[in-house]
Amino acid sequence: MESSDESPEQPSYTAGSESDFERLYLRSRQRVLITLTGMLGNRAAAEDCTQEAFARAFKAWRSWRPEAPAEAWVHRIAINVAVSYWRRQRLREAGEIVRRLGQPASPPSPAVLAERSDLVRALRKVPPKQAAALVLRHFHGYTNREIAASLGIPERTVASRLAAARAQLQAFLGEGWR
Amino acid sequence: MDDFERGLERGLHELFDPYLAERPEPWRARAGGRAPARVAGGLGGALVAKLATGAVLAALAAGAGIEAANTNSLNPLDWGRAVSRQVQNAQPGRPSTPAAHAPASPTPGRQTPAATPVAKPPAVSPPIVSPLPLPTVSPIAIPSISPPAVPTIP
Repeated sequence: MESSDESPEQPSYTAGSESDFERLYLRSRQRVLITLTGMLGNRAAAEDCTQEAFARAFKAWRSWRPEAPAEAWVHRIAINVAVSYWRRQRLREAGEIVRRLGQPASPPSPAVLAERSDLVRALRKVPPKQAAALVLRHFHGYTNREIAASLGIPERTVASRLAAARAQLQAFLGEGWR
Repeated sequence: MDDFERGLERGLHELFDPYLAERPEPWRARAGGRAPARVAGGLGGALVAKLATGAVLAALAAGAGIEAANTNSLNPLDWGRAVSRQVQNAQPGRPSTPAAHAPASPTPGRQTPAATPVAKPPAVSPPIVSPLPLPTVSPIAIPSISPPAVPTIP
């Protein structure tokens, strides 16, 4: 078991400790949920992926190393879960479109209507890894270095993903947005 | 940070700040304190499935062996006939329909205190019930297998 010496803002955890995992869960669950909702544009799906991500994290909790901040580690697991989900969902949607050809469209549910703000719709157009970088940067306030640690990619890749995501959002929302 | 990024941050906070106000229920409550286990999956599941299949096959083999020994036949139809014979042999001396069941005593709810002391023993002697013939179980005969004759090469 190893414990981390993190800054006062970053609590320390002991790998394998159930009570520490509970603290990590309570501290980071909503933030992970927000990141995944930004990626997927669907809260229900984000809830499922968040739960799956924490279940995986709990299984791997003994092998967590304090070199990576615990919340960034959980974020990395969660983003991988969400990317897998997003790929499966794309395949399913393609099948649905083929199945519904020629049939009248069903009215959207209230939950779907609630998720139809301009920004959520724009985020859905952005590839999920770019959307994750955007939410980590502009909502959670992570630095590019922290995002790189979360996603396990070089900092310059983070910068290019952020730039690409911003360009797509601007194209969708328009220059005069807000 | 330019206007677009400021607008983006404001928009994200409007969307997601309400999420932060929600308090998640404890992990132990959601996952029962443990990660969801795949009971039927993995090596343990495969081992349990194999053991269960083996137990079922062993029980079937034992039943078939006993019936084969009792009937001296490997034909399951003979086993069925043998069971039918045993059931028919057990019929005489036993009531076969509900109407044949004589009440052993009057209904308790209809008993009166006066009626109970004057009750006389029944005039008819109770039917003699012979015990059911118990099937004899002989041990399973193990077939002897003789090795095939090897032709001798001159």
